[in-house]
Amino acid sequence: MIRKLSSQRVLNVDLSDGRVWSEELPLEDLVLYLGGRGLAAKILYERTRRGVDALGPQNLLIVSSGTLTGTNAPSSGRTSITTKSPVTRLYLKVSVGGHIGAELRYAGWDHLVIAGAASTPKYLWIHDGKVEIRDASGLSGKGTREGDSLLKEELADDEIQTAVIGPAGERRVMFSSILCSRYNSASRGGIAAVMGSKNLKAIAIRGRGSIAVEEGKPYYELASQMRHALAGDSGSDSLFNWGTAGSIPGLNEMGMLAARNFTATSIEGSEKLSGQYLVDEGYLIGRESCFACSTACHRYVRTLSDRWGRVQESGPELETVLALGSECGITDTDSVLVANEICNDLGMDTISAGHVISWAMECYERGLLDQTKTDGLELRFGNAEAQHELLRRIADRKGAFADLLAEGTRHASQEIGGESWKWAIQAKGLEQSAVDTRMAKSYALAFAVNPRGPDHLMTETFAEFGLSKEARDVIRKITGDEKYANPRLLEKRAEIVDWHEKVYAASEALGFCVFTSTAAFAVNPANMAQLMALGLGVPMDEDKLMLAGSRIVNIERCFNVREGATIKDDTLPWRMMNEKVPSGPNEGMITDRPVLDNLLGQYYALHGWDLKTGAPLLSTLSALGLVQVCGDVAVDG
Amino acid sequence: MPQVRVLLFGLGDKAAGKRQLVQEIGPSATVEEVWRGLQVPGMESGTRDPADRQALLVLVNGEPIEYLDGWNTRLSDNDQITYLHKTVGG
Repeated sequence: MIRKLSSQRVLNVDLSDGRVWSEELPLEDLVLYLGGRGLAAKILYERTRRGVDALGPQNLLIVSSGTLTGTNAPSSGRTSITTKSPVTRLYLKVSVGGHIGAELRYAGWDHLVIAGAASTPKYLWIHDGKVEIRDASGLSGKGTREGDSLLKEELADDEIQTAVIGPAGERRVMFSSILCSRYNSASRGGIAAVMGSKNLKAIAIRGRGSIAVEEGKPYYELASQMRHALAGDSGSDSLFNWGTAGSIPGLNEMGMLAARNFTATSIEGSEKLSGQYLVDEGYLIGRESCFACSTACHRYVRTLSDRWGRVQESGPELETVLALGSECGITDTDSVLVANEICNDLGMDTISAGHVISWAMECYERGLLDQTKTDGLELRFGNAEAQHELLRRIADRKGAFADLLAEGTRHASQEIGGESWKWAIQAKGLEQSAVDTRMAKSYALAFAVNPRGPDHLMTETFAEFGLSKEARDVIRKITGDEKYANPRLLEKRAEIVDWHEKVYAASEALGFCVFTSTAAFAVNPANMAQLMALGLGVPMDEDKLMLAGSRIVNIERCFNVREGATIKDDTLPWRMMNEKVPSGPNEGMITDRPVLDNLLGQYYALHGWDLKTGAPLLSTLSALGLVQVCGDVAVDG
Repeated sequence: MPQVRVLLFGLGDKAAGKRQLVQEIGPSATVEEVWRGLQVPGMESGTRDPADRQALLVLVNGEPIEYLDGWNTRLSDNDQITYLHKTVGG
């Protein structure tokens, strides 16, 4: 079966009654919302109601392939999964690499919209235009690794792509994750808890179809040019050589390495957490690529000692070694590899898992917790054994303390009480990723307005550091002057965040890895638009693409407004706004309330959002053609 | 004679290798001059070329030279200069 790249075929599955049906979305919508993340946001808004229970059958779980996924567009294999988060109770989109998005397209669909809840454990088997809802009782309680293997065995096909939840997702841990074909974790916001609430243990996909672009020769020539440009970008080499954890030495020396629950900005022994160390010492045994990607930033690693148990599996990303390593005061390489594998196998987001434990460790060090309250664990910073045990207990919700932490840092701090909320590094209920938002002001603003909570995976504004010619070029393009490539400045931060928001939205809607457009910069709005035009045979240029990015940002915002979010939710963790950077080159820096309010004011004005409530103005939605979609929450003006 | 401390990460035989040395500098010495004057066994000679230097992250007392005066940043007694590979991704 050969389908057009412009096809937007939706597979709907209602797990409550077993209904399955397909629909084709209009091409007009694809042009307006770019597909992928964009159309998923529109579907979520239109097909759920205000206050929908995130863990109830009315919530949707939407798996969306990128619009250019399945072709040779460079690094275009990203897949978006969209829902309402059970932990923030707001919009949630996660982006995952690997091959599952391309496989879905080859199987005959571009989006998978899952509603309802099954009465017994099920898995979806999607293959070459067919869909089956199958019994998954044999998979219940299994880790993601075994789940993946059992599915391949049962379906007698090693080439299938899988998305599997572990025990954490089944038990609705608020930071549970979905593992896609072993290597790729769809994390943040408790996405797997939503899947678990639907009694859906796994999705298995096999497709033997193909995708046809409209103007083949120029499309593939442009894609090839973009791939070569990407290979020549200064960022690509480091991603291949050392992966994302290659940034550890630089962060440590710049005093930006989050350590001990953000109470320190560097840590002795940090080099043992670095991607360079994994290479030097023989931990790294392979590099893995996502679909159509030649960068190969994923790691395949092994432990070198038996101290914590043997592991030979997918390796940790930068945020993982920070959350499970330095933030918990741990610099033992083998320990971090094992902790990463515990999370991946049991299906937990390493960023939140690490940070809920680093928060608990700080509580313990301050005397707010002791072993009578931690079910016997001595939760001091640096205690790797206790960390591993607690990770396992959280995934199983074993014991009262682990059960409490499984609800996330916000809830746990409310229960533990005292001043523990002050060092709960969360906002909107999501644990912040390990970027110090006291120093980098675009990051601070982007984290505060991020619809899913404070992290770098919706709008990473790395270019504001200006550490490469390409990054400074981007800042010049946005602001008119490369002097604004300095993260400590307050000027032009709203413009920088705005541009990155749109580029992120467009990149993910089309399926591009954002490393190609906002870490390396070879993929840009102009060539993305050109490629889309050639591939789909639709009119598209840079301006139209950025406008579509703006539509996506506004729909996501409207979803949160409908759920009751206000300007008060656009905030940062208390520590980021009230405790200055304690030491190092950035000592004394802070993004306090007045600074953040200043940044937010600029940002709302630029977006055409109400300065008092943060809701989009009716005139803004009207200009974007969104009144019919989400105008019900707009503020007059 | 004024001195600076020089830290080198991953510029020798090991990617995570860390070297530390103390170097005497003349008056008004720059980051560029210290870099050119380094004598470190095993260090990649290619990185001395201007084009290859684009791949380096250079810090003076933890501050990227992009926020200072670039490779012309002047050094003072007891400054710390760090040379390491640029990296991206999170």
